Amino acid sequence: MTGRLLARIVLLPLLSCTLLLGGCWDRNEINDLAIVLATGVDWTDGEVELAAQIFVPRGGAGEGGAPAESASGVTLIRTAQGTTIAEALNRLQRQVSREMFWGHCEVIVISEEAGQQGLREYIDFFLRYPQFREHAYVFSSKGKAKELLALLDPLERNSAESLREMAILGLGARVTVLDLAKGIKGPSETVILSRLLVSPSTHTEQSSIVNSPTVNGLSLYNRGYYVKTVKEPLSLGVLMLANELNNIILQVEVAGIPGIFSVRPHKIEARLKPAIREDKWSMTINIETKGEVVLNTTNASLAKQQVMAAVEQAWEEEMKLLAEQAIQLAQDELHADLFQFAVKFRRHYPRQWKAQEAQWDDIFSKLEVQVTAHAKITGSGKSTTPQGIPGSENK
Amino acid sequence: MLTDQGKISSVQLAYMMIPAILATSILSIPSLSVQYAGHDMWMTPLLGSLAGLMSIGVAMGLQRLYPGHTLIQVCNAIFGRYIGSVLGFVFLFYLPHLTGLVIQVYGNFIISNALPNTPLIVIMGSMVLVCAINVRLGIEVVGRTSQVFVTVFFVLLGLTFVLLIRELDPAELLPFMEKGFPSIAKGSLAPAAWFSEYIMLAFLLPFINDHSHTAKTLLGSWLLVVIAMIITNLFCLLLMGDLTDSFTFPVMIAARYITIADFMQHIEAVIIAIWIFGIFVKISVFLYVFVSSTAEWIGLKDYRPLVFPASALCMGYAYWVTTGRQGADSLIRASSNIYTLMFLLVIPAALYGIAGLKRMWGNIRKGAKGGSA
Repeated sequence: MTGRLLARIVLLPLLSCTLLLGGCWDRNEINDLAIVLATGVDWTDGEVELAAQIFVPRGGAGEGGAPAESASGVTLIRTAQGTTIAEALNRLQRQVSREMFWGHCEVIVISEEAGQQGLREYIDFFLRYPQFREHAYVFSSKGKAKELLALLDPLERNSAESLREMAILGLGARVTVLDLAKGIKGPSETVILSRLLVSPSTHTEQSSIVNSPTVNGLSLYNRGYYVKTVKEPLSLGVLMLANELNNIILQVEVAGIPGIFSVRPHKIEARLKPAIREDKWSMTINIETKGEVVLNTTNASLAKQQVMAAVEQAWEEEMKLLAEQAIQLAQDELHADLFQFAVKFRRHYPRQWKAQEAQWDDIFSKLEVQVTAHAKITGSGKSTTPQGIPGSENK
Repeated sequence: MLTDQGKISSVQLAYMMIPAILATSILSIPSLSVQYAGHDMWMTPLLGSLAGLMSIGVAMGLQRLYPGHTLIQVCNAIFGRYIGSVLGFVFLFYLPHLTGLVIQVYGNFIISNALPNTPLIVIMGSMVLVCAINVRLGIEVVGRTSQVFVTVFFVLLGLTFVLLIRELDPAELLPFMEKGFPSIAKGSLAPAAWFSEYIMLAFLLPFINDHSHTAKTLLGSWLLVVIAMIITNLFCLLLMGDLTDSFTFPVMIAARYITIADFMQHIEAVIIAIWIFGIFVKISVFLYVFVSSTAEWIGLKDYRPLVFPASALCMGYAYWVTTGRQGADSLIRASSNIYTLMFLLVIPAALYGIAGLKRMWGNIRKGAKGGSA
């Protein structure tokens, strides 16, 4: 009995404490945070320069009629340099009155200049520093990353959002931090990043920063270092073999028919089939594509079976050519296994892979690569016969 | 003579055992098993689960030989008072060690993932306090809370995994058998150590009030744990591939990776919630076993007065077992798995063997007597 009474006497003040201790002593409210939407990594004067695009909450607009969302002025850019990326981050915080929060950073832009110094440091940091998201999309940039982040896209709330939408739309390679780390750590040791640049300024805009980022080509990384930039049409082949080619319209010319057919593929799939026969390593690539014609500047009618067949064949040839150019780039020029051939060999021939892993560079340069393409035109768009030919009805 | 008059159903017992295995394993097993077994790590729970089957078998067997006896009482029954007490003490020595480790892993996880500024003692202390209250209220309450929490545990875990499906790459299953069978066996040691925690049944089976379906129900719980563990491993592997072992808590990374329709993201808090539900049941079960065994060992009629002192002891162990995360890591890695397996599988199995032999010997003697008479 007395024990129970004692327990109550002790418990009562303890419980009443909970009324006073609301747990607010180390609160960190949203208006104490500087929310970073995008991060840029640059290389300036031999040091890492980290740029952060910080969301600026609109003061006083919370209650009452909130003004219509418009682009300008809702983000700000801060940059800082350091011998390591972590030091740069620390110095960055010195410039910002609120605690920086990186958990909403959905976009990371690494300039090609910074990429030349190697990605290792950045990957380790992004996968170690607690707040960074593994799902953040990674881009490469031609110029300074901070200039890209500073853009105020008139279409979106901020340029981070534009970049994220572009990644989702499949313009260029969609690579997250996790993919990046997987690519570099994997047996192929390569990664392909979409390359961004500031689109050439249009004269109607008032200021040079009111502009959109543009996806232009690809930055190729081998063993964690930036090695080369490729642009169209070579970049198309590279993307195609990486199975990242989306949202594209291809121009197909058929021999003997003057003019151009434009084809929009619904699906482009490159299947890599590794083979090892009698110690001879080879790779067969099957390109499977389907799409519809969206433009026909020739006089040939797509209602005719022969024309369709001819277009399909020409399209196949074009795909093959794209693929072969990309392979040549990888094998002969860069000696970089851009299309993750090594991953395929490791998956399908684990024993041979283990035995010859050390000679992979040699094997890769001499690898026999066969490309086959199969294209199917699923429709001719809204029209069948060519449109807009003057007076053709009378003939 | 049990120190708690409460009774639970075999279904409740099955529920209690699920997070007792899964709660800590879903965080640690993926990265531990991928280290050894590589891309075949999804198989390791299959192999490891055999230890679980053996533990269940030993517990059920002991229960058959000595109905209504907990493991501590079985020791006494087999070896008599003195040697039995020494053997019982071995378990009393090991149980707070294990419980302390679980508490410590919990504290470190919460600190590194949710509450970096909160003192460790507050995080661990509050959890242990709640578990101690749970334990003090008796086995019936422990059983019922686990029924509720385990349901939530599975719903949330299932939800997390369903949301991840589209990020997975099934090709990561290859290369198959890259490192060969010995590596898979080595990788299975960690799941085996976790599965051997099923030996807690030897302490809890006497509290069951429906003995008819026990075996079937327990096998059901075992199967559920195996499946959940394989699925967890598969999701980590198919998402992260070779990177799985470079993360401390791969499941957290997986949950952080979820992004659906722009608004379903940052749901790693769900994993923390799952973990807290699971760990609550796990610590409660272990604490209960520890407290009730101690009471039996000392010879108390009621285990309740021991709950808070024992909890305090476990808190102490939480600090003593390791120093920091590296220490905790080494305690759940290969060699220490053997340590765990020894206490949770080898010793009980040896007990069962001796008990069986003794019974056989007794029968032979009885038979001989009967024959001569």
